[in-house]
Amino acid sequence: MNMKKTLLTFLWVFCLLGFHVVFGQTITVGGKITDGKEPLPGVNIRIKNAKVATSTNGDGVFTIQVPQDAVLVITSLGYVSKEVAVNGRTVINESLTADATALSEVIVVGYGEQKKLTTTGAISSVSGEDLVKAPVAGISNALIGMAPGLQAVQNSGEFGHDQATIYIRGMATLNGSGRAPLILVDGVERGTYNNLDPNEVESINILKDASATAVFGVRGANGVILITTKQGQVGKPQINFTGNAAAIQPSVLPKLLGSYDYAVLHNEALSNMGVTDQTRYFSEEDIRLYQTGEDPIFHPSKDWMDELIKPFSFQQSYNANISGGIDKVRYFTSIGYFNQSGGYRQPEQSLGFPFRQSYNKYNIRMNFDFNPMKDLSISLKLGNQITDNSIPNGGAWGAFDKAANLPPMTSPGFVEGKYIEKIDGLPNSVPNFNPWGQAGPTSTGGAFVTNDYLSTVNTNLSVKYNMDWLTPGLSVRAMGAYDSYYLKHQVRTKAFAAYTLAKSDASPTGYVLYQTKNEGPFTVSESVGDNNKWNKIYTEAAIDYKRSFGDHQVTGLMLANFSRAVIPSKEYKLPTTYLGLVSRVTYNYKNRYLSEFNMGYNGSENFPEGKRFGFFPSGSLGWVASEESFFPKNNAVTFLKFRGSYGVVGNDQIGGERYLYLNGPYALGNGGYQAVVFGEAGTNMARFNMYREGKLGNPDVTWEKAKKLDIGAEIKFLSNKLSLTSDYFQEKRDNILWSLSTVPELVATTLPYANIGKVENHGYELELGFNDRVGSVDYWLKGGYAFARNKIIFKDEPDRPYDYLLQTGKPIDQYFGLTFEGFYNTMDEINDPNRPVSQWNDGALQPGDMKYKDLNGDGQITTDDMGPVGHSNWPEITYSFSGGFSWKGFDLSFLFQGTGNVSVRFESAAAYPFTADWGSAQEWHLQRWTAERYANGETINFPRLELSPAKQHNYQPSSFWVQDASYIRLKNLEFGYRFGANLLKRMGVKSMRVYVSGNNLITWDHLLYAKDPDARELWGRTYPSMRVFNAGVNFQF
Amino acid sequence: MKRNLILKGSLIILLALCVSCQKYLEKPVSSEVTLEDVFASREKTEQFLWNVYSTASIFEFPYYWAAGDNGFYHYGATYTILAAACDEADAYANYTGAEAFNTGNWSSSDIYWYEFRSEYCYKGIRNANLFIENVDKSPFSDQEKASMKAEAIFLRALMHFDLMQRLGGVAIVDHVLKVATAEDIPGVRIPRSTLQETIDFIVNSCDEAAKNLPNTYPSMYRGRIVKGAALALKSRTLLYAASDLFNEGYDVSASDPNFKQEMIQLPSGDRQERWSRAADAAKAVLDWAANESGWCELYQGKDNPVDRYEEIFINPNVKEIILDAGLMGTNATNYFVRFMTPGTVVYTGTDPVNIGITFNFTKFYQKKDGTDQVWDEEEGVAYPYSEYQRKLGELDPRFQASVFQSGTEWARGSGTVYHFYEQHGKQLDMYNGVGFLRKFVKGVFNGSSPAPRWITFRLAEFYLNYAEALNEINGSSTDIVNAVNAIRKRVNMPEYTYTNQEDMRQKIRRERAVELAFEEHRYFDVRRWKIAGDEGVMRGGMYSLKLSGGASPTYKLEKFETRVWNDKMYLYPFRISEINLGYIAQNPGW
Repeated sequence: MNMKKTLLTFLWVFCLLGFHVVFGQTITVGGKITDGKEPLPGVNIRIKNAKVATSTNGDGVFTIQVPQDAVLVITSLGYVSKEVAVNGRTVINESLTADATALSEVIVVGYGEQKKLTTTGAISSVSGEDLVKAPVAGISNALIGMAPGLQAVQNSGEFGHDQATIYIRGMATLNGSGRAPLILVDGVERGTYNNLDPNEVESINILKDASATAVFGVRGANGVILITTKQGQVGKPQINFTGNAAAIQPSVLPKLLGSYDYAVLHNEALSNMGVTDQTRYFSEEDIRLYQTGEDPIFHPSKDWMDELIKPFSFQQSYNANISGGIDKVRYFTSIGYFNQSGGYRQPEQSLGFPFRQSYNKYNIRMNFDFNPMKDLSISLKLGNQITDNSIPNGGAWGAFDKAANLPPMTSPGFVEGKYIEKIDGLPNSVPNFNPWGQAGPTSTGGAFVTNDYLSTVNTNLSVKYNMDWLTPGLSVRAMGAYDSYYLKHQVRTKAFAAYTLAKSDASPTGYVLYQTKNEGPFTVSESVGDNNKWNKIYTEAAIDYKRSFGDHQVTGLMLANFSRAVIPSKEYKLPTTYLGLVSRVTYNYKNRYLSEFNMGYNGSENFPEGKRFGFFPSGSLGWVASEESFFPKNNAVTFLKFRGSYGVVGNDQIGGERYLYLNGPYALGNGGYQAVVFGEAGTNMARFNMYREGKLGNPDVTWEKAKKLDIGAEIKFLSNKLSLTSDYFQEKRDNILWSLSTVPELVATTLPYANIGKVENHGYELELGFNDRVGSVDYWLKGGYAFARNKIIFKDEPDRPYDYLLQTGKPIDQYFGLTFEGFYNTMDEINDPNRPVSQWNDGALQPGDMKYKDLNGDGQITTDDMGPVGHSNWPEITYSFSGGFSWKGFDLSFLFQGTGNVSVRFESAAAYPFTADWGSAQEWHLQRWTAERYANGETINFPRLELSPAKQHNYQPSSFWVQDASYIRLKNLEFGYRFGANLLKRMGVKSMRVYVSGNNLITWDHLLYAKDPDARELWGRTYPSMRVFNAGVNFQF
Repeated sequence: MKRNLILKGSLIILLALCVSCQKYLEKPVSSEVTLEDVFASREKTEQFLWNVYSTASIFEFPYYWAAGDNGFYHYGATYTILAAACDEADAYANYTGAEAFNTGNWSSSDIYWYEFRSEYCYKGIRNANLFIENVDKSPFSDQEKASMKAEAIFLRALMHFDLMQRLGGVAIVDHVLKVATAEDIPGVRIPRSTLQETIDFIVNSCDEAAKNLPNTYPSMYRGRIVKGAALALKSRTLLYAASDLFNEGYDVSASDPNFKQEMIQLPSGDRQERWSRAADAAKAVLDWAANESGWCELYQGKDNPVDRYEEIFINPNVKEIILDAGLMGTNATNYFVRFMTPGTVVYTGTDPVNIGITFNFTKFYQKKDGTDQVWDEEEGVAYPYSEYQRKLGELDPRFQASVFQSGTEWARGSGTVYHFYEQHGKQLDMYNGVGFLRKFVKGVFNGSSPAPRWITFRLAEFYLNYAEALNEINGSSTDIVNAVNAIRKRVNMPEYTYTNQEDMRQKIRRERAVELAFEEHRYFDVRRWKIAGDEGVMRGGMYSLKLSGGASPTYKLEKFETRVWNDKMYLYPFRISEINLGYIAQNPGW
């Protein structure tokens, strides 16, 4: 048998050789292939139009039998292929040049770098170049729509508070504060990454599967984001300057009704409620005065949004950086400034402070690389981010909130340039607030400004030593990092002069004005909170090994790390500590068969001894099919890689709580409002302080365990012009840290977390890119689509009478509510004996109220009919589509971005008019149900109106209030022109580009209420994200 | 080979490092205080006892946002007092918990929001149990320990009583419940006890506590729990236990298969015996005050009966108070004043609730001469304002001290008179009823005035408890009228003479309503007497004397609200979230 096989093989080889012999004399050619300096192993050498091939050994040497006139095709992954005619030579030494596009794709992975082409993990990348395109304040905002699998949702656009929430591949854990990815800047966890200047960033890599994140062990389950700052390259100093100036405005503001409409609707609501007390209605005269506006004092009509919020405010940013270096020293230094200001209009009377809302960010970075000796390299990275943020009168929670939620006739605002705090004689008991002054932290008025000053310093010092002398391919490195964080919170207050208005008997619209409050002194208070000052030390030491043995390439990594954060100001705030051991082994055969094994062994202070350290292994395999000799070599499919990984990663995060295994400390307090007071009044009566029990600990607590599977393919078509990366992933997470939820209230204490939850998450990502050139036009298109759906398998949920009431089995944060089925339109429908009875004031139901589906069929609409409605507030689908072209000096690029399968629930003031009888009313509410509007067949998008409706039938959570929050947005559009070199040379400028760009330009959504679909806050009191109209210039010297 | 050695060597070193590093992740020694630290120190042990006080006292007025570490509210309707949820009063603001009760719009899924948070009662019980189980470790003398333990035992019983008066028989928690992992959960699912067991637990606890509680404390600790408080709780418990509600039950069928009638009703037995125990327990309080306490007596100071009655609620040194619940609010933020008083007069903030005293309840007040006022107003007819002033002005001094009616001063003696009808386009705050609540605050002018202390037990109640129980067993007619008259005499109201049992029953109930008005007695009294469903009590029309301004102001009798009652409301539902856990049986009708 064996003999036969050998014989057949021999015969076959012989035939092949014989076949070639026919065409000419065969010679043996040998040689060495290098990259210019170093030998290249594993290079494929093939005879053109034949099937004979060989490859170089570990020293880059090859031999091959070829016809004298053969042409050799030399290919190696990451290098430009070459064709060499033999022309009878027997020694052919060639050097290959690196394929710029392929080789530049060395990507940063956990604790190291890998060639993108041979990586087996699921990793997406965003380049610094792409980041700077977005004229926004933070890195997190710039990442929106940039990489499939990275989902970023920006809930607010308020200056200084607009950081986007980022999750990777959706949610797979129950606790909201345990879902965030681990974010590292230059290898160190840095929570303030958002404040980096995008101009400092070289690349951002998003590690999505277990293969890529296992090295982060107990912290890797939610994915990892690696941000790498720029380094200098050898060469003359490169000076780069960018300046941007922009007009920014809220992308969407609530559309508030004026006093006339408001009064009409208010009366309508009263009459709907059957109120007979005529004094509660606006009189016809009041309504007439609101309509005509002839009495702006007692019958004002104010759009407070318009009154307080400026239509445009100003944003500017500048960055200057210099980089360059010689062999032994390279440098990159950068300074940046970012500013947003404006926001509010200035009041007519001084309210103690200018209403200047401003956000300033200052960035400084100095990165150095030294090679003092042949085998030694040292890198020093210094970065400082300073933000300085001033908000007048509470910002979004003060001024903005009041502007959105007060009635239009509540105050004339300023009269004769004076602040009116109180007005006697508003009709119909209209509550009297002046949002200009009422926006304070207490309802007592008085202006204040809060100022947050934050400085973070990041430093890294790393040393790498090549130990080839010991054994080739061996090196050791160590890194130490020191970070400090300092946040100072300042509040300045000043009571301002306030006036009261009363009706004058002289005329119906006449008034008298008198001062009721004097100006007060200026006060300032400063605080540095317990958690607002800390420093962190991080150290790591590693051994790297990288060597080729013929076609076999092996790398190894062994690393230990340690981090410790200390809050020096508080003794009892104990240092936060992590310890870990990391290892990675990769093996690759001919760049064709790839394998990788990663493991993290690390510990978290959150868990008890014995459960503290976890071992997190992952393995992955890859196959570059296009490297196979049988793979057809043509331009249709030029590269094809399959990869798969499986591994276990952990999560120890549960909202900043620590030492989960210990009982919490007992704390001393004075009982707040409910003081314990003993003693005789007037002599020795005193409050007594008291100790309170801390939360309980769980002695068995340990980490969450995520088992992750990823299968991916990377394909390039049409001579690499078209590329496709696709991934399917599946995650099963168990041991999820979650509060015990079926414990009776009898226990009455803060319960410990236990490892009880189970969630499954799966999804896929597609990334498509196309580049080409037509004539002198270079153009590109890119699309990304990601889907992630999770399901709660277990969360210790109490029994419910119907399965649809359970969160178990549904996605995390699934909305629940009644199923809205239109409105009751006639009395017949109300009186129908078969109509389900409402739990909420059934006797008061009228036409114009909501019809709900009786899910359990018991003839009643109750909380038991609240099944899942809509989706969760985190999108299952995120996608983006971008493209652009450049022609001569011109360039244009665009980015569309969107979400799908996401809902938002309208509640309280964001949904209803007349909360607490008054509040504001919006344009949307004009589409309310009335008998008349129904009869006329007009669009009805709101139930009949009522005052203070929160607890009534129509205002229960339902599919009416849970609305589709998906959208498509023209996120970014940029148009630029680069000036010709000749013109600039004379000015000493290498290149100059001017551009205009816009951000958040147009949004298409499905909401009934004018609202940013990404804003999640329910009261309508968060700023929407900003629309930006930007112009900028970039110089290179 | 060499390479392997190095790699293996480093691996071993790193692993060794990590083993030693296990300790690195240990929580460092710190100044954080543990349970052991608390009970190793006299000072901290006491401070934990104050925590038991803070969480297990009855603060009837709720601080709606103060739940959590800084305080626990479990009583009183949200934003208001329970008086506004029965015939005594009405909260004008319609966002109060009382509104939900008055519209019958409350259920097992939102009861915790409108009025009552049972988990905070159990928080107090937990703290009491922690104290009881650990105080023996503390460096106090045996006698001190016994006395302090008795305070905690009393407070634990007080919380069980508070659960019982709303829910009937409840889960009795007499030890610290431990939960660390999921396996511990079945062990803490304690089912409901019967009503009899619950009452026995409270009464036995009172007896046990009374043995070791002192009659008085040094001056700086005045306000701590004295023996009289344990006797008082026993009296109130036995009075409730003898009353109709817990003996007769109510006619609503239960849908929970685990529900048993004995959870809300005592076994049939000798009613007379129960009343007799109640009478003895009330007498024990009176005897303790007179013979044993050395200080406790009905307040008799001040010349003017209006001042005299008012003083009880604004002067915490009054010796009639057996137990109060400490300050309600800091001086800087006196939420009682902020919410309960007419906003325009007192507080310039944005959220006054405006408690109005109903006309229904006003009728309980006699004229100063002991006769009934002639209320011959017809609905909708305008009467001169002077009649309103005259008729209200003639009422019982206790009315004058408790109600701020139109045409009077807010701060009596200040000379500033307020009229509640619209004048010059201006009107004071809106209200329903005949006037605003003034009891407890005596004309303070802003939220930074000293906060009132909520009285849990004052001696007057036990005269009325005694009279009621004694009348039910047809006891000594002299003792019955003496008890009622002690209360009436104190405010210069004419004395009663004995008539017959039924007449005395009505007189005692009326006296109780008037004397203990707005102190959150009546809300529970109308339930235990089973009259809550009567027209004008918790059901039906509630009336105002509505004022109108103009050249000659007038008032009209006007129905401002029709209230809804359902007999299932005699007891509260357990929260749906607890019912869903399957360990507790729901009350009938919910």
